Amino acid sequence: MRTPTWAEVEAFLRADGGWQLVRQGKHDLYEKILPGPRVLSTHVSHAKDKSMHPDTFATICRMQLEVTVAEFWETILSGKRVRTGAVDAAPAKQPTVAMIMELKRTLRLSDRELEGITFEVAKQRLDEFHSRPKDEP
Amino acid sequence: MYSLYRMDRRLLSCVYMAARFVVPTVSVAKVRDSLPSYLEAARRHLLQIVTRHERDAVAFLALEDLQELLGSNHFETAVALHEGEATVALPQFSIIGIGEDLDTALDDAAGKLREYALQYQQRFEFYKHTDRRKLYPLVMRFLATPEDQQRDLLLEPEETEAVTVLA
Repeated sequence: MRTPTWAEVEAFLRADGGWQLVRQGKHDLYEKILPGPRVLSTHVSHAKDKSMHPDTFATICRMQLEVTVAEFWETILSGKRVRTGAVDAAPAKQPTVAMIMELKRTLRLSDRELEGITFEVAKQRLDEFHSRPKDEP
Repeated sequence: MYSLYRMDRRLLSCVYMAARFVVPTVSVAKVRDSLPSYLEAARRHLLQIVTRHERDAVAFLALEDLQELLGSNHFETAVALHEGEATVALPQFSIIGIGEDLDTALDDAAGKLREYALQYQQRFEFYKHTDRRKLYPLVMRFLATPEDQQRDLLLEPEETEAVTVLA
């Protein structure tokens, strides 16, 4: 999947319209008000030519921008709002920071060994660890 | 005549406000004159209401008690680890921390949350009329935590995990 640069994320915000810069800092914070009123927000990195992992892009579209990945690109290409209110399906539930830290501490797993791990698998591995007899290595 | 009327209203209002609470209700002037004794009372976990004219009423309580009060507000997190990039999402805030690994992604998430919380507090008059009003206890908990401990708030296990993780 092609992923955008942060400059392209900014281009999306301009084309989608209604996004306001509310705080400038290490990252720029933009907000858009939807009926309700409901607030959408997203951070844009100053590293404009840098991109991101496809899963990170999908999360930004789903959690922050509330558009599908296809709508994101269509918005940039057309230069105008393409927003149906739909979002792409979320992936399997992800583990919490506490679970990952516990897995690293107890099972001595590296970030690499934990790549792609889901909440269910993380929970299962922790449950197995805690149900082991205490003297078992 | 007008000023006497206003004064009567103020006095009546103060009496009314004092009568509304079962805990001590004191004026700003009184607190100013003997602040140490009110601080000592707060340290002993006593809630006190401080009033100014008929407009304002603020609670005076120890920071430790405020932290206790807000302690059950949990920060949800979701981690995704990939080769060369990790993310720590804070879904309640629509924040995504991005880094080369878990540690830097966690730092990024905590940093974004810190900036968000500070501006949220300044713009609460706006947020309180939106769906983000519900974030208020979380924001206050984050801001009432020393900066060097704020990141740890993101490491707390969820209640559903607590039995598993802490067993």
